Amino acid sequence: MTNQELKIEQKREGGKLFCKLTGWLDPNTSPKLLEQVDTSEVNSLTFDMSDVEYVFSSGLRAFLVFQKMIEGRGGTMKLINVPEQIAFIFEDTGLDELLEVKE
Amino acid sequence: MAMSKLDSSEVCLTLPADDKKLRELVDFLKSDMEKHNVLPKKQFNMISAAEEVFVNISNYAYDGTGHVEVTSFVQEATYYVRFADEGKQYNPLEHEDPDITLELKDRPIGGLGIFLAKKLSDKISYAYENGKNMLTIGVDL
Repeated sequence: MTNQELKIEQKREGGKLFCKLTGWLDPNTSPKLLEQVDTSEVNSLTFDMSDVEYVFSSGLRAFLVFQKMIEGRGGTMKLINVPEQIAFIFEDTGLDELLEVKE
Repeated sequence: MAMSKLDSSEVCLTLPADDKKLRELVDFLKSDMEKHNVLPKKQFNMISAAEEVFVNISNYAYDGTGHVEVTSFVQEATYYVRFADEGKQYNPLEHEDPDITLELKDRPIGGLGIFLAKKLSDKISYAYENGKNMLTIGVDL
């Protein structure tokens, strides 16, 4: 099934924010991710990518924006459970050097 | 949305140049690639590359509204998708690749789309014919 909607489930514990993403990160949904994930007072941000079907460049840009915000205040961000083919996109663009991406 | 058969292997879909139509493009490509037995990894790469091309056309080709003609065909063990638009003449392959070695803080956030399309496709070419930009991307079968 094609799921173009993006579902964002957030769990916050103190300065730690955990986000489970489901669906697509495309030009229509990536702005929603940036709007809905409030990283103020967050110093550890984790995205669980296990149910993400596609990450297009608009999604990559969103992760770069989060990384810049978190890094700017000395925090850390990581992407976990990244499906293999999506991990290749991070490698191909060199973003795996900048972002912590784990399969 | 209009879909028509051109010959035994060419299939054409016409979409408004609007990134809200992305899902229609992806559904079309998925079912077409299934018919041509494109491997799952190559399907993923084609869809990712096609998204970048389609979104680029949607964002930049027309000042107002316009259309994108998407044609798929198979040639010499490669599955191709050609995007034709009647917008401003523009060859995205002449666009310089972003410098991905820059430090994060120095790195511009734009310019990734066509770079990704180049990386993910096995073949990519551009032509301007009869007032149309034609960008063709292919993945190996």
